[in-house]
Amino acid sequence: MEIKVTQLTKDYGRYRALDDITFQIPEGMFGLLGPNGAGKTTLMRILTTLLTPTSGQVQIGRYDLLRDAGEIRQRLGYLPQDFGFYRSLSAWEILDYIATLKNVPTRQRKDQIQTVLTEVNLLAEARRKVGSFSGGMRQRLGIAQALLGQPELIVVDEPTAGLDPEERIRFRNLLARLAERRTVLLSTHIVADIEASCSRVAVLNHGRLIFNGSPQELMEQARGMVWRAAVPIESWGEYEQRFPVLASRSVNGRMEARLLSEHAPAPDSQPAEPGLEDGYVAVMQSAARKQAVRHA
Amino acid sequence: MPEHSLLLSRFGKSFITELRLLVVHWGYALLHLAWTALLVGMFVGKDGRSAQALLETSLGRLAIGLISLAGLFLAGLSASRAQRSRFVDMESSFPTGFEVTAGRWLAGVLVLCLLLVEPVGVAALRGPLASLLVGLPFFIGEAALTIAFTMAFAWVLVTWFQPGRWVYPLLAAGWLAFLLGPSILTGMLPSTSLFNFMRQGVSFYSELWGRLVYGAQPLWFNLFYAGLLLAALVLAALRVHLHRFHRPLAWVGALLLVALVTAGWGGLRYTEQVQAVQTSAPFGPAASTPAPYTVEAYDITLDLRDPSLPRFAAEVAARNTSDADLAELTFTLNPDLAVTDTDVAQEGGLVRVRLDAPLAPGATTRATLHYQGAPRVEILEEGVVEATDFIDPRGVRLTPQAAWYPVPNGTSPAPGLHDPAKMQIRVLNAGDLRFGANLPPVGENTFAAEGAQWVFLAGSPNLALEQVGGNALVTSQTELPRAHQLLDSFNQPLSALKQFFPDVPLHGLVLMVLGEERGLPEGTLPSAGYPVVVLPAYRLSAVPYEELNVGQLHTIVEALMTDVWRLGGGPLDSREGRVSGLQMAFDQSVTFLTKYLWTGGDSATMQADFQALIGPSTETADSVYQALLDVYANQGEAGVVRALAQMRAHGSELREMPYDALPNWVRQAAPMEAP
Repeated sequence: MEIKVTQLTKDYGRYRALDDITFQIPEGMFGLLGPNGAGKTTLMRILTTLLTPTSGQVQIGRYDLLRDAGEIRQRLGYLPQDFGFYRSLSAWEILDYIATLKNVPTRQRKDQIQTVLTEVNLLAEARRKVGSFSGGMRQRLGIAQALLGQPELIVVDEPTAGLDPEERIRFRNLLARLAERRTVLLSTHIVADIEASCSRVAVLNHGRLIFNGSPQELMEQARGMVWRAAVPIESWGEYEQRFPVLASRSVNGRMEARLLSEHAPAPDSQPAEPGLEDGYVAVMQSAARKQAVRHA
Repeated sequence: MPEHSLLLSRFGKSFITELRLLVVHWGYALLHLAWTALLVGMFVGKDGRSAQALLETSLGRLAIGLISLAGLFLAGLSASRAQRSRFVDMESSFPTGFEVTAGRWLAGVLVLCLLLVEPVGVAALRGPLASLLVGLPFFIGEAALTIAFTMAFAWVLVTWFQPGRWVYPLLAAGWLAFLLGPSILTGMLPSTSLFNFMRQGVSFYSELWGRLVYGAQPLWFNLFYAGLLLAALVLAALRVHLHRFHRPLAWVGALLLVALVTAGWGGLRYTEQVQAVQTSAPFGPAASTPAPYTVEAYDITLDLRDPSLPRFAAEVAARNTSDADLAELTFTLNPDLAVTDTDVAQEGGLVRVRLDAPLAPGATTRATLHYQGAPRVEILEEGVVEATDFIDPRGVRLTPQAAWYPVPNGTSPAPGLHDPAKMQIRVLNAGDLRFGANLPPVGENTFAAEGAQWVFLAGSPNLALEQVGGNALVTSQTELPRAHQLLDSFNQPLSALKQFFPDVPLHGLVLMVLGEERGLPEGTLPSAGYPVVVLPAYRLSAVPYEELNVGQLHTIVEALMTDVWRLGGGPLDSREGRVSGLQMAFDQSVTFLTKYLWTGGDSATMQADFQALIGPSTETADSVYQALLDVYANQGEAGVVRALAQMRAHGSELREMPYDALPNWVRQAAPMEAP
């Protein structure tokens, strides 16, 4: 289910949360990156029909966002970043409720609930009240509900937050498997999640789309700009001021660091192979520079 | 699955889930417990109304009022639950519409309707079952309508404006405003009673006539709120649809129009009726002089062969009390009753009967009037229209103020009241209606008495009329067992009183155990030989005579003695303004006779009770009571009989007498007999 976003703008009063965004989300798994306040959640809330755009168009499959909101919801699985359930209901009851609202046929409802509970490893806790669930269990239940109704589009906002590493990997794999047959839009701060599973990624900053491409292309944004350097501790403060630090550790009175720079930051610095995180930082730095130029 | 099946499925699931969330909660169980305790504490064994009357009045009104308040809060809780549980984003992404809101609203309505179990249970404890079964559909229906409307209103408020928690005190304040506002405003704007959505206005309930008293007003009231309920639901649907689908529902306009027309029509008819009663004028011109003649005898026949057109025949024996010849007799008669005699002139509320020959002073003549019609007299009680008089196939209620039989047109102490006359009333072709009156029965649906000044004719399929010894008992079938007990409580004091009024012929008592009867003359004047007591069924506890407390006994003695006093020719004053010496003497005589009955005539105990009442002061207050005690202690019952007879005979003298002169007057009125 391909998504076409055209000149999308969203204003909250005088504050512009999304600014003339145009891009496409193809089938498969699509990652959305960006700092807090970049507009990720606003974009996701628009794509999930919770918000109406100020201007612009969104086409999801063959459906227009405003005209066919009901059709889109019928094909949607959504896991918001901040969510809860009715605490006095059991996991099974809440999924049964949601499945009904999602128009899952009565005969398939039980099987689907069992399947999604198995997927998120909660089948044994099906009869337990949601109010007694840990944060991780609640998160897994949230994922389970998003899978109900076999949606063609799954939108997940920070889905692995609160999950332990094992569960996170399990869930990442689940999403990757689901994305074989549908579109999965994943918003996350955990770059590793995107690196491991997304075929496309977009970066938002201050409501603008500053990158849209494959994870490999995002990584390439930092090629030739990532350096490994060992810096005396006494001059480390100066380096921190001058260069974006990608990683650092103290070894024998010196700071060994990965730095982002167009030129070698120190005489003995060595060029390093960029990662996705480096690409993301490079894109953000580039956007910040362009914005500074615009303001100047 | 077809879309309508899916819609129904989503509606059902949201209904069931909301029901589950509301009911399976400790707060709901606690609410039922507190509710039960409140109602049991307030009503069980403390309100003598029948089950139906309880549901129509005190208990039912309290229940509907408080549940409607709970409804406002519950709707707020339900409407904001998804938000509070942070489930709202998830839920908003589901392919749903108004059906989810509707399901939740309906669940809330059902949950609150379950709180009607307690009042119905309390009413069932009171019984009887037949009364409960008659009252139940009305109570459940109207309570459900009020609850549904209240919750729909709150849902609309929350869905349109999505207010914060501050809305709860606002809702409570609004509820209070609608509770008190109409009550306060009905004096100036009676129609505001329409806005008393929780039905807390005045409620006169009659076991005999039920809702006949209110006519079509409950229907218009309910229609008004049914329309508003529909409008609220349509508005909520519109809001949800606009919010979720960014376009209005196609059918909203039409449905909203239907809702508003329904509400408007109901409201308009309701207020029209209120205004009609408000502006209605009394019958005919008020007379400023006494009538020049008196009617010495009435023989009235009411024929109900055609219930829609009752026919009356009234034969009167009139005596000229003036000192001039009379050419015509002018009567007051309800203008809704059309005189059918061609030789009789009717002008509004006046009927002029031309006499064949002038009637000489002191002479008597007979005249017969034929008239027909079904008058309905309505009054406003705190903005609510109530009928005091009507003739309907389902019941008849005729009081003196309806002027349903011809009364000489002259000044009168009360509307419809006339000089004492020999009276006979007959009802023909009554169908399933049973009749009773303030006159003793002398045959089937026939009542007669000497010296009657008014007639209250009551007909209902539920009426019970029994002759118990010389007494006539008029009540509803429902209240018959209680009324029997009450008759016993009245009969024993009446027998005891006879010895203190040996000169007053007392044949029996007419006891009418009914509702809060309107339109009757103050004090319900007796007919010759027959004290008349009209009593709301629930006013006195129906306990055996031996178990009455002194307060209850005082009430009974006062009611009886008022009539016996009058029958013995004793005057009485109105209780308005300053209490006259006459009234003071009467009141203390009542207290004396009450104490006499309470102590079995033990003068020492009566004296001790009196001392206990006035305290240990050395300056013992003198009073008529003390004087009667002294007379009784010295001369026994015979002395008291003499004192009471003197008080009745010299009423006008007592009227102007200072209070402190009364005791000695009483002592001197019953001089010690020479040994």
